Amino acid sequence: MYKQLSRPQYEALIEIMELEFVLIELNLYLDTHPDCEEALRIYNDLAMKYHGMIMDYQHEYGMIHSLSVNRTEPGEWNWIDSPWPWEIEYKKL
Amino acid sequence: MWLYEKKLEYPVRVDKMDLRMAKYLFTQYGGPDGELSAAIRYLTQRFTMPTNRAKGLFTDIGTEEMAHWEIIGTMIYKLTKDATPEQIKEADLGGFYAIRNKAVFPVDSVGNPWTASYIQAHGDPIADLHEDMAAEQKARATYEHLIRLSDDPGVIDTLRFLREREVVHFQRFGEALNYVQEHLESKKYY
Repeated sequence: MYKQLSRPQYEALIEIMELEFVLIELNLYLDTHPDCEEALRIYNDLAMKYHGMIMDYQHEYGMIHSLSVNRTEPGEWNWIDSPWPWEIEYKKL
Repeated sequence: MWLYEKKLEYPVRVDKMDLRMAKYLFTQYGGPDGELSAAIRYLTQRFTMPTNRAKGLFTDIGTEEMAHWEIIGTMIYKLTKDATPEQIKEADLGGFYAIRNKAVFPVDSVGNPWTASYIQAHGDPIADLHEDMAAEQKARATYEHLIRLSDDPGVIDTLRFLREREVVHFQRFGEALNYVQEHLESKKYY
């Protein structure tokens, strides 16, 4: 039930989580500073990078965003099989 | 609408089973200043916000609060999942276990079920924004209490992240309050 991800998968997931957090933070900042060109530029650069990372991750390890393309060999719905967030064993500090 | 992302906003590392800490954490899961209250509060108030900045901010902070609710639920799940009925009795959680086994149910740390009376929505953006800023401060204080109650470095790390988010949300609500106030002033005619 508890899931220890492989090292490459775990590192890719953590990298996605870190980048997503930066985007969340910039999103809130832009909500109250919509004219800040610098924040918008950083947001767009990172958002492009983020979506590329999500595509690569999902291609390798299965879906983590709903409504994504579900690529598997052989054809199988992998949304339910990729690890559920509360069952992942995150590495100790 | 909302779409699910199959990941947490921040990792939840738990060193060992700790039923007592899980019990305390319930306050942020189903208690008055908890993450469920926060999400429902902002996602309710957003409908009557007067500016697009505020509508955006309430939608986005409300959504982030749901991710925090998931983080707290994950902490409780991980802290309790290996407990035996005997250990649950010792931690004074037998009353909870009798009804719900190890369900992660929205109650506060002393067992009161979550209620909409914890939140407010007045349809008045100034009143609502002040409530929200107070709510963020109350949640910040609660996280500081919880940090003092834990000796698990992983739990403390996640709680520190959540505490910091309260500070950021307070800041953003303050900016929204200034903007909404200016907006309302500009619409007054004498």
